[in-house]
This record gives sequence, structure tokens and C-alpha cells, in this order.
Amino acid sequence: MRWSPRLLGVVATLASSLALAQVDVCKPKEGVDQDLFQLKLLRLPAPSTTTQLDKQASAPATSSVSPDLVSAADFTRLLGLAVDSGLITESSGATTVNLNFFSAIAALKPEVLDQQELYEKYTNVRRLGGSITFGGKGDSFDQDGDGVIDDPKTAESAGDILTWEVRYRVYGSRDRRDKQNYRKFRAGLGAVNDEQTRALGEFAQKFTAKHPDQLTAKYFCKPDVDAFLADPLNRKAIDEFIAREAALQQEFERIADEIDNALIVTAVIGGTERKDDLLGPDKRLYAVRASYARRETTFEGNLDYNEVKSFRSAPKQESIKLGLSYNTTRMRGLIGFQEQGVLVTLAANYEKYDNVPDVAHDSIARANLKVTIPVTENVSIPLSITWANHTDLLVEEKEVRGNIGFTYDLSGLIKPVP
Amino acid sequence: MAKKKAAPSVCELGGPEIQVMGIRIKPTDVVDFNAWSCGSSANITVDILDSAGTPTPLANQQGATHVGVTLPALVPGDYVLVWSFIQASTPWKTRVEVAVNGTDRFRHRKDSSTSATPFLRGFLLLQVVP
Repeated sequence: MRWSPRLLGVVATLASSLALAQVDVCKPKEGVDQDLFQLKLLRLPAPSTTTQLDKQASAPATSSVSPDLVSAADFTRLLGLAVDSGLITESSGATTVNLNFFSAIAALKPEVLDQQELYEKYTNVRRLGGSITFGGKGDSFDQDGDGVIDDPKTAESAGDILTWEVRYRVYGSRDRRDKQNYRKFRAGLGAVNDEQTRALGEFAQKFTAKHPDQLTAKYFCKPDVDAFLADPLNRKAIDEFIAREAALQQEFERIADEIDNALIVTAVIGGTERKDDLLGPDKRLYAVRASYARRETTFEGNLDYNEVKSFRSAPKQESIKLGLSYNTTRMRGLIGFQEQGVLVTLAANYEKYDNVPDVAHDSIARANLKVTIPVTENVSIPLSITWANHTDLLVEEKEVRGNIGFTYDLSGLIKPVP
Repeated sequence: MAKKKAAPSVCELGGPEIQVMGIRIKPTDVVDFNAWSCGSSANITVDILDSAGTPTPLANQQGATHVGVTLPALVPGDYVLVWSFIQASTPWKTRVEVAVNGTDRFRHRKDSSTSATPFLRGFLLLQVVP
């Protein structure tokens, strides 16, 4: 019989495929793949349900299905995409366009979320955000000069009221995918993770040294894997492997928490423009906002400059507001119900007004220290001391001495516990 | 408006998974290892351990979607190729392939919906025969 070259080629391909095919040496349903082998090493159950231990920080919420814009980027489709992606929302007659530029880019090019190099290219774009709202309601004020405050008028067309805000994160990042953050994972976890990875390889080598028939098999066989894990000779190495994995997980969570609550400072510029003076005056806002958190401690700081443009016969109104807030839990393990410790809140604000009606003072300064001690699951005793530069600002205090007010509430101590 | 599914990521490409614990190769074979990480920033490492467990680092990259290495020439014996991903955030997907002389002999995928840990590791046993 003569074999044609073509037939010989087919036979050679088939023979090669058969040679490459992996043999399943285990009994049916006794195959252990490498994922299950690792779970067994860690003494974890095979996953029947899934959980997620961490979350994406600051990636935009775009839908996984989107209109295909590349083929036809006409206005209707762009609009549909913007609505799908939450970039345009409507509420109470006002339409808000979200100026999250990265969300818009991700909606057009979903691969910027998938591929880290592309994601990183837009690091600075992700610092920028904002919104523009068209339409909506104006301000409540005396529109006709009769001395009565009138209800706010609603914009008749979208262009009658334009409210805008632009935000730029000038310092810090809470995005784990930003270079400054993801490097922390390698720096903090790399050495132990390398040790774990090599240990995994050593376990696989050690197992196949005992079961050479499974070295190039499709699976390891469950009875052999179980015997390997139960072997007292392997116990110490497996215990160490599990302990290192737990330490890695803990360290990962610590680094992730540090990133997720890092100090960020954002600059904000905003304004309101109105076509008709029956809707109210134009406004401007310039602000700096700072936020930081770390293990039971949070800090917030805001500095706002607001300007209401001169309107009808009224002069320009200006105000500056500085607000600081610091919250922390102290003495945990020492006092309080179930040794929860005490919650300490320190807050201060300073406000300065120029030509602003309806404010009691042109300058307001206030500082408050509040300590809250939990005495039962539902009852806490708050103790508060407040200083203000005007005594009439201390109206909510229980006792006032000069510019200082004291407030305490001991009623929780005498209330019957339900 | 008609909606269309987003294009698959590079981690979803390449064909079905190829389940195997190890492969047999010759010293002259060219073995290529390729790994992809999608949706997150990952630190990807690749090492090869000889039969004594001595590691040779082959790659250690951060912030790359793809890591590809060609294994050094191996003398006959047993080896294990090991790799790891440390994923900075979720969601993520991974794809790992090992090709011998251009033919895929191993393909493995994982994603954050089925894995509760940011540490992903894998291995492939290599038996180098003369």
C-alpha cells in the first residue's frame, strides 16, 4: 500500500496529538487539579460559593454591555452610552452631566480598564472630575420687592440655570492601581509571596516524587493527595505554609486599608450662572477639601470661599469657611462598655462674612471637644466642651461660663435598661 | 437601542483551558511561558525550580498586562515551573499559557469571582527526557 504525503501528514498530526494528550490516571471524580491541590494544602474547602475580600477602589462603574461606538459614533449613540454609563442623570427637571472624563474614556474604550498600561496612561485624567447641571430651580428670595420671600422659580429651559463644578485631586490617591500604590504590595508582600510560590512548587515536586505516574498526568489523584497531606512528615511544612499565607493575607489587608484611606486633597471650583434675575444671583465657589483615615481615626478639613455676585441693588456677598473635624477612638481595652474605649471628636470652624445678610456675626469661631463613653450596648454618655467667640453661639449648651459651654447627658445612667 | 457585548479581554482569548499537572519535554525544545493579568495591577513572578528545589527567577514584573519568558535550555531531569500574581484590586482575570515549540500544552484561567484571595499561584511540572 502506498501512503500519500497528505495522509501521512494527517497520521503524523494525529500521532502527535495523541502523544500530547494527557493521561488521566485517577479513578473517575478523583482528579485534583492545581487549584484544588492548593486549597487542600491550605486546608480550605473547595469553593462552592464565591466571596470577594477586597474591592476595586475608584474604577468607574461602567456597564459591561455598551453600544458599539467605534462603528457609528453618532450623537444618539453617544447620548445612549452616556446615560448607560451614568454620565448623564435627570432629577427634578435638571439634567446633570458627570464630568468624570475617565468614565467617558472607559465607556468608549473598555480596554483601558482591562489593560494596566492603558489604565496607567490616564492617571492624571482620573484626578479630574466634576459636573454640569442644566436647569432646575432658582433661589427663594423676594422676587417682586413686596417684602415676602417667594418660592423659587423653575428654569423654563435647560440654559436658564447652569450649575457647574470642577474638581481636581491635587494630592494623594486611593486607587490601588495607581503606580504609587501598587508598588506597596510588592514591597510589603513580595518576599513572603516568593517563598510561598516556591514552597508550592516544592510540594508538587515532593508529591510527584512519590507518585511519578502523576507527574505528567491530567490530575493528581485525590486518595494520594489526601495521604500526602496527612503524612506526619509533611505536616510541619504544611503548617508553616498555612501560617505564612495567613500572615500574607493580613499584611495585604493592612496595605490595602492604608491605600483606601490615604490622605487626599482636592481643589474645587464651581459656580451657578442664571439667565433671568428672577431665578436668583450668580454664584462662585472656590474650595480645598482634605480627607484622611487610619484605623479608627478620621480627619476631614474643608476650606470654602463663596461669592454671591452683586444682584439687583445688593452688593457682592463673600464668605470664607474653614471646617476641621478629627474623630478617634481611644483607650480601647481599658474603659467603656465591653472595653470599647471612648470616642473623641474634635471639631473647629471659622467663618467670615462680608455683606451677607441673615448672619448674626461677621466672624464666627467655634471649637468643640466631645468625648462619648459607651456604658451599655445602646446607651452612651456624651461630655462636651465648646468655645465660641460669641456667647449667643452657645445656645445648645447645658451650662455656659463666659465663652465656654458645657454639655453632658447622664440620663443614660438612670434609664432602665430594656 | 440594541446593546452589544463588550469585546473579550486578552485574558479570555486563546481558546479553552488545557488541564495538565506536568509535561514531558526534550532538552532541545523551546518552552515559552506567557501570563496575562486583566482588570487590575498585578505583580507577576515566574521561577523555575530544579529537582533540588533551587529556584532560578525568570520574571518579576509589576504593572504589566503581559509577561512572557522563554525558558533556558534544561538538562534532563525533573523541574517545576512556578508563577504568582499579587492582584492589587478586584475585579481581575488571569490567563497563563505554556507552549512547547509553538504548541500550547497548558492553559489556565482564573478570575476574582471564583477566587477569594489576591494571591494566585500556579505550577507546571516539567520532565526533561533525553
